[in-house]
Amino acid sequence: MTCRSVEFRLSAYLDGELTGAEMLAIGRHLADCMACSSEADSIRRLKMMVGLQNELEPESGFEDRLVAHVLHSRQRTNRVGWTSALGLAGIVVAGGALAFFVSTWLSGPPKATAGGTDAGSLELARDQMYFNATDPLGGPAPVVSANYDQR
Amino acid sequence: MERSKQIPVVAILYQRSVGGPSAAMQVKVEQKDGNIKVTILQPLSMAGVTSVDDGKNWRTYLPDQNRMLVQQSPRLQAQSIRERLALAEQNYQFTIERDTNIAGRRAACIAAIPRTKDMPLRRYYVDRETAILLRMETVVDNRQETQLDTKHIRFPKDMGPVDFQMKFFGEQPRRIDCPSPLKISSAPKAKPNLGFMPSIPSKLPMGFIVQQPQIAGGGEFRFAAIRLTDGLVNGTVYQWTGKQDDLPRAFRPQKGDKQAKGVWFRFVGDIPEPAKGQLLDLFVREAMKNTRLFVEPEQPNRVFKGLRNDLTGLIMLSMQIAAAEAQTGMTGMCAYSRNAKLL
Repeated sequence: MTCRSVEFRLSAYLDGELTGAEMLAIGRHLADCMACSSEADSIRRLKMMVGLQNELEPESGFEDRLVAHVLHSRQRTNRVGWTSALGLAGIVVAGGALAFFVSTWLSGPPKATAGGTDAGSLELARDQMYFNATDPLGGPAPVVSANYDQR
Repeated sequence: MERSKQIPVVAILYQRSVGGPSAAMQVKVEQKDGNIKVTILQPLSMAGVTSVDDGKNWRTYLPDQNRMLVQQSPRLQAQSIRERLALAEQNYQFTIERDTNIAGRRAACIAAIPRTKDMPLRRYYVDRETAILLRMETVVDNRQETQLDTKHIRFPKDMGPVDFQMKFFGEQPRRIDCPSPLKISSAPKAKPNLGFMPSIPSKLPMGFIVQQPQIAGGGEFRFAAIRLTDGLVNGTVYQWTGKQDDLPRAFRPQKGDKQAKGVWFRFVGDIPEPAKGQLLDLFVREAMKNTRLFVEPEQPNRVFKGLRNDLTGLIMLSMQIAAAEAQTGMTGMCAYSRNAKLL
């Protein structure tokens, strides 16, 4: 085993996430290689320091602020994506690029996808959930199909 | 084993899917004073789907579509537990097996051994103190499959009403009021609503009965949902019509679906595939009978009776001809006729 291949797996080795054969091979390499052994010690110390930190409790409203931030970022990404598409269309050779640009401009910004399910697709799953919920001998939660798209 | 809805419970459950590919899902269940909230944790494609049933209304929030489905609580149409148990006793033999420990709770094990070879053995693990179902297993071809398992369960003393509120991501979801399934009094009466006469056989194999034929769905697409049960297992035979391209995705033909006279049939329920096929074939056969395309062959007894009479007559005539030949010295029908003084 070379130092390069050990370097990428050191963290996983220290967390015990590798297979038994890999663990043994890396262990043998560390016994012979001062540089990798030193690197492993540094990572071990770092993990220990991080583990000794106190757990932080998020303040109230954190979840709502995070969700709002994600949603806002998503809208910004859509606008940026749209701008990039226009810019790219402008770079392409004149005739076809111009036609593409004009047609895209006239049709408006790209519509968000509908989520992939129509009302009828929900019916089967909902019916199954409803029916199973009428079962007095069922468990605490009604059983439904796990593959949402196939329902 | 009836759901104990009054006991405050918070639980994380593992469930196998029914009606879809064989995959597992994890749900969180919170329950108190008749309110039940179920939040799907896994798979990722369904994470965040939340439903709350307060005994009157049942609301389901779909975060990806930003929709809220609202309909009447299914508990208002709860099946009769006495009828179910009576039927279950006919179709299964119950035994008590050794207790086990599930999610830190002592659970009694009740094994239901089917009286028909086509159905699997089932084991129900019930919490000794609260009678809540903690685990359910089936054994098919000596292979044990867990259908429901409790990973974590606790019974908190303090659980206020705020725990049953739904949290929405972003704007308020669009509300969609969904109709509850309608009961069908007879197959011909359902035809105007469905556009076809649903097939409802009077006799089913493996101890199953038709529990309740219903019309489900709403808006432009409606379908028949024939509810079956053998006391323990529930199943639904869905029937619908329509051009393949116009059908909602969930109703487009899948492996296992059958068709007769333009009507599609699908069985959804927790039973082995051969048993599903057996039940579906019966529904298809019933549908073919209703359309008079399937002609039953003449009863074999009547055919054989006629043939038997003909043969007997032939043998008797042969014997009479032989006797007449011996007496008259003539042959064949001449001898017979002379003997019978016909000539």
